[in-house]
Amino acid sequence: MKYRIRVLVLTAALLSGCISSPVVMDRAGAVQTLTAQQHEPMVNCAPKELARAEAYAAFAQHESSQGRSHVARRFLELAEFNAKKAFENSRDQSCLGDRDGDGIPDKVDMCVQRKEDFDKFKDEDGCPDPDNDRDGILDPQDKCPNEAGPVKNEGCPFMDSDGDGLSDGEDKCPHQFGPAANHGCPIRDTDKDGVPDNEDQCPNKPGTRENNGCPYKLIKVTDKLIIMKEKIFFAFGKSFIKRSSRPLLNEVAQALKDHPSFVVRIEGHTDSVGSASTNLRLSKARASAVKKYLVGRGIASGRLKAVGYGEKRPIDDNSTAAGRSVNRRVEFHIVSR
Amino acid sequence: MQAVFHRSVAWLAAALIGLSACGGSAVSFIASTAIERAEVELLDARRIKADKDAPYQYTKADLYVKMAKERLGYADYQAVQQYAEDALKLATEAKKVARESRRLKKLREAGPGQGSGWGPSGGKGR
Repeated sequence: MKYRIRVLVLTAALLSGCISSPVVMDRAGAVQTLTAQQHEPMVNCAPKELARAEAYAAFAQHESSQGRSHVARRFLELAEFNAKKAFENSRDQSCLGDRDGDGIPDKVDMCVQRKEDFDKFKDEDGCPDPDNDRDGILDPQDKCPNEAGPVKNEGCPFMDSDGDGLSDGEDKCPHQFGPAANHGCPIRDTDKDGVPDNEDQCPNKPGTRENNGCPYKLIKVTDKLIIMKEKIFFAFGKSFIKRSSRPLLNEVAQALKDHPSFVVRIEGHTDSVGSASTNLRLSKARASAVKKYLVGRGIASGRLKAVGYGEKRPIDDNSTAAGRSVNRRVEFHIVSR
Repeated sequence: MQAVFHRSVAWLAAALIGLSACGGSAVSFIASTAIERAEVELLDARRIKADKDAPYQYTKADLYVKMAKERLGYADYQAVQQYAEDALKLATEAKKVARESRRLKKLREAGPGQGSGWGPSGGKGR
């Protein structure tokens, strides 16, 4: 009798296990189907409940497959409870993961509560751009929504035909490049000396940039000579050029640079005081000193020829102090132009 | 002769018991290591606040670690190994999601250039 009762109890226990196992599997599967279908809204609004539902459903299935039906049922109940909770908490429209409904998911939407305007300008960020070019004119009123422009030109930029930075409307010379200071017009160079009129102190006379557009101060260039308005001073009885004469010689050097084809003969002359041979030697030395100085200022040596004439070619009276002073001189003769 | 036979049988039995004990320990060690790895990853995820920024992945990873530990108590090593591996993957995923979430949050705070500052709370105007 006892034996029969034992067999019956065992059979009942086995049968209950056999019956419950597929049920557990089916119900856990149902939980998994539900969570899979509603995954996105559940992740957004009930992430923890979703995680529990999925995990417990998986545990229930595993336990059931191992024959531990009572443990499986415990997990199944937890899975169903959490799935139900997750479902209830994620029914709101906002749980769909696109709160502004612009089609750009919240997880990549930079403006989750404002719809993208899809105007082919930064449409991927999820934010509307009411004024693409940020010129202060809203796109619907802006004739050029992607190019900044003033209100008076309906949001479009003014043309700048000459590219000088001034719009054609403001440019007095819209087709000639010119600075804003000159209203967009080019600055003239009336004397064509390379110094623009606004910088040229002598706009009608060709001059040098060093002399602010004016001709040379201390010299004058003629057809055959470079005439100096003052003398070159040397140390007494020597060929050493005094410091005070350097500006004068610098200007001569500049003239030779301005006229690169010039070939010049530098003549040295003395008065008649002293022996002729000494004077001849001194005049040669002084002419050579001048040549050396000019070469030092960047003039090619081949363009300069130094000659000394001593006292042979006076241009004034050697019997007076004034005349002798005039006779002591250096001349620049243009040999070829 | 019979004594020799009995002794051999005894040695063989002892060797088999030893081997099986060794094998069991090795499997147990592997399973424990898998759990440890998953736990370390989960702690790391928590360190970067993945429990807040990636709650789905974090919660699931946490449950899998707990389940792995539970099954370790029953010496169900195959299940332990599987749960621990799943937990590790989920914790890694949680870290990734948390970082991405934080990056996006910062971008929203900084604003997307034009029309900036419109965060989830409605934000501010330009």
